[in-house]
Amino acid sequence: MSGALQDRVVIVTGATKGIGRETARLLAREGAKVACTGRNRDDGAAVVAEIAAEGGTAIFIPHDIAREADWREVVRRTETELGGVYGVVNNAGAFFVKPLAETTEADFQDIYDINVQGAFLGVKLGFEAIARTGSPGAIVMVSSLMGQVGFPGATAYCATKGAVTGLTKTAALEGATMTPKVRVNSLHPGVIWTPMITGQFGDDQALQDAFAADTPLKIIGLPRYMADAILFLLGDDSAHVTGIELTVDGGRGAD
Amino acid sequence: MQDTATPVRLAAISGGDPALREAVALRLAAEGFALADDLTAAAALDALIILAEAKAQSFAGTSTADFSAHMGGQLKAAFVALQSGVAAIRAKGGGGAVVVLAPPAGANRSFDGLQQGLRLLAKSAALELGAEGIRVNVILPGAGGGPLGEGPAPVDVAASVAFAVSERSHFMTGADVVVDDGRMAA
Repeated sequence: MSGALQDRVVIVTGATKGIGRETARLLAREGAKVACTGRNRDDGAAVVAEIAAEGGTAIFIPHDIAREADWREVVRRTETELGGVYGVVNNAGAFFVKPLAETTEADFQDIYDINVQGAFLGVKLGFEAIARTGSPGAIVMVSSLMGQVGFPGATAYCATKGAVTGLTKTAALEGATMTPKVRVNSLHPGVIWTPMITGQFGDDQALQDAFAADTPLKIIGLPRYMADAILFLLGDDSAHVTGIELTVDGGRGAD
Repeated sequence: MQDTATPVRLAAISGGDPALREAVALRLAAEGFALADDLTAAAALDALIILAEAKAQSFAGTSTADFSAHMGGQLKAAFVALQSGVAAIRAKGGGGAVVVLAPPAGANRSFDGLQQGLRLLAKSAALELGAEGIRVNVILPGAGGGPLGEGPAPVDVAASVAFAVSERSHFMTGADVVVDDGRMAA
């Protein structure tokens, strides 16, 4: 059986947990060869094992996305071990909740390094890698609903995700002038129950229920819903889609 | 692989020019949907696709009667289809999906307000119907080309419709799916 991304090589950052992990698994089920990157080697090995157990192809590459040298090594190993790069999912991100008055310069710099500089390097190096294949490609930037609207206590996070929204649009316009062309779109998840959220708010059922009640669809967001949206933005069904903000948030942002 | 026990999903298409209607119908059929012949006669539905139509006409060349006929006619047709389709989705039970295609004219834009009217109709419906598991999303096709290419063909618009009515967009409601070769990004 041929999948939607059969034999195409995709790099997924932050693939050790949450949205990245589910995305890596779904892309592999759709035939992609996936380079899973992240900071935790044990979690990385676990994802690769999960994918292998489902009959897919994946490797793990240790990766601090804020470092260009790391990015170059990720691309080099991906090209050597899996082949030319079709797509990049710039998913890895950091999140914290702290009132503006208490957010320090160091806090801001840390989240900027990951969410903005990491995303910037992901597009830049992604463009270079895709261009080497001589074939079109696609890049998905995982921004946030908080890259479109504000959220009290998340000034730094919202600022960085807003930056990703703008970065995506410009990258899309430049990608459209490349030969062959590269599409770039941003995904804007609402509240998705991942370690990023539970790490800040705690992993308790009452809170999950409260988030669900506060969402028009009355359900909590799950990583696999984001994986489905990322697959759409990477695949041929979105061949004429570039520079868009795809909000998948259970309806929160529509209010 | 299709499970033989899987009940057939029913969809209805309202409006649209013949080429787009056909492309959407073919894609939905490929996704395993059966199509209702007549929306108003459909007793039960899983999905409703409302294909509003754009019209290019200059402000100077548009009479009040023209404005009312197209703007009012299209918006009202979408509203009526939404009401009747949602009733059929409720009758079926278990939630469902509505997609509203809101096209721009591109030039001679006296009717382009229609696009925003349709968007907000869909978003309002999304908020009202979310608790019932009925999702409502908007497809915004480009008028003409954009930085990426010559603009989407009916088959490309149909691919986005298919995503918006499928389980692959399970958590998406009140959202815009722009299919415009990057035109709106610039």
